[in-house]
Amino acid sequence: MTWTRYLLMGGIVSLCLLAGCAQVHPWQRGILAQQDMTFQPDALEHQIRQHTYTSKEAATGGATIGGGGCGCN
Amino acid sequence: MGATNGNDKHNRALSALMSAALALPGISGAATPVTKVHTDYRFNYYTEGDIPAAKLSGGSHSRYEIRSHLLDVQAPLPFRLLPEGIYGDIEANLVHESMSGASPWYVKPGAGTHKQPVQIMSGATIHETRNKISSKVNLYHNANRLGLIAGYSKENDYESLSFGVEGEIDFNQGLTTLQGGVGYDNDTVEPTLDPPQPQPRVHHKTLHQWTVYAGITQVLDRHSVIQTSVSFSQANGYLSDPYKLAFVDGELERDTRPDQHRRFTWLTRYNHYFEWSGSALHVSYRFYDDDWGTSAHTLELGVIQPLGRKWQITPRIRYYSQSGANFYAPYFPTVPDNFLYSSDYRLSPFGAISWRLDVTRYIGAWELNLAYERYTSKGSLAIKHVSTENPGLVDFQVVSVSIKATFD
Repeated sequence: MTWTRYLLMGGIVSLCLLAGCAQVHPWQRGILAQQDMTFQPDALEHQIRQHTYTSKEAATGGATIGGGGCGCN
Repeated sequence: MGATNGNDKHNRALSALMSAALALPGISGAATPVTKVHTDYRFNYYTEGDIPAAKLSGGSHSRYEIRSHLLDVQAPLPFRLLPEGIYGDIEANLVHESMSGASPWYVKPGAGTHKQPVQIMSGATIHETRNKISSKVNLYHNANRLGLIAGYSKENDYESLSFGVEGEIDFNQGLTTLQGGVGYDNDTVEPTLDPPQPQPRVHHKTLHQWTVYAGITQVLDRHSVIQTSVSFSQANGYLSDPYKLAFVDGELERDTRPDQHRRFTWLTRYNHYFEWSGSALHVSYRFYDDDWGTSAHTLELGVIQPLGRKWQITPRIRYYSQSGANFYAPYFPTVPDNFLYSSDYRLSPFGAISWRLDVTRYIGAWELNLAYERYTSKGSLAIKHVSTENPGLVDFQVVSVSIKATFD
């Protein structure tokens, strides 16, 4: 498992993201502030869906921590 | 009198600051406290499809069903509790689940020349409940956030205590956000007799897990935002399934997995808004890898589409593919050198597709949601060829309803 390679890939992607960004002034961010543009517009739905997938699949994890364990997996 | 005047000024200043901050459109996911009480209740009904007769060699053909009740309440913290310049909110999350049915017990060689594996299920005797409570306190300074998390979960045979700290820092005029966190779980397993356990029984086992993640969110333009994050976790302790067996060299042995598990996840999410349709496209890709030999890919696409001012539909499709763990096999003709073996379908190679449709209705400060999801898993859906599919792979359906309300 070459985690060093994965970290390097993540770092490269991050740098590319920063390089390719437009200047967006505060008065232009109305759309970005909408609920449907957040990464988890429905937190409870996201919670139960991820719990379901984690109990039926090997993969787990994402941009979050903990949540505790369960006997389901 | 002076102290009271000081607190009044403090409260007015904080209120003005918060109003100004919230009036400025922030980037997707930017740290802003709640200013009202938000409540969210969801009921989730999960049912698994029967195991096909051709794959079943004993036990119940019907599988699991789970009824879940989730409640989440968020409220602002009173100003008087906080230092000047700091504001905050608190969140409480409650889960109650009841589970019943049968689950895969072990896999053995079937009859016939090729000895295709067949599944032995437990009897339909499992009845469990799970209750969980967790709380998060968020503290904000400008657009930066610190979150403190604690949680407790209890089932008939499992107990979990969790803690975590997470944070977000804005820079680049609010266009870039760094986020990260660390969490710790301490779990106890005390298996019951139902379903049957092989002798000697497993008694009072423990495990603990550390998780750390870091990510960056970047506004790309007026309509697009992207987030990429990595997480590492390490679990130590009892990681096997006390109820499952493996068919090893003609004998039934207890499911035996390593006592350490290291995991890596890389998640990237991208949202784009289309002005011509008023819809928001959500795309996410997750790469997973661990030291048990499993790697997995998850790709999900969704579109949030308003229909007028009062309705919204959200169709989603998800594709998942995983490889098998090093110590996995449907059954073991000989004893492995490392004495590790599991026939759990969740460690087998397979692929899965699911589709989901949410319908949302807005009524004033209320939001009603109805959702349906269907999930199918097969060996043939995996990215790499799977020579022998585990007979216990699961298909399931979910019907889910939720009610949200916001109160002053």
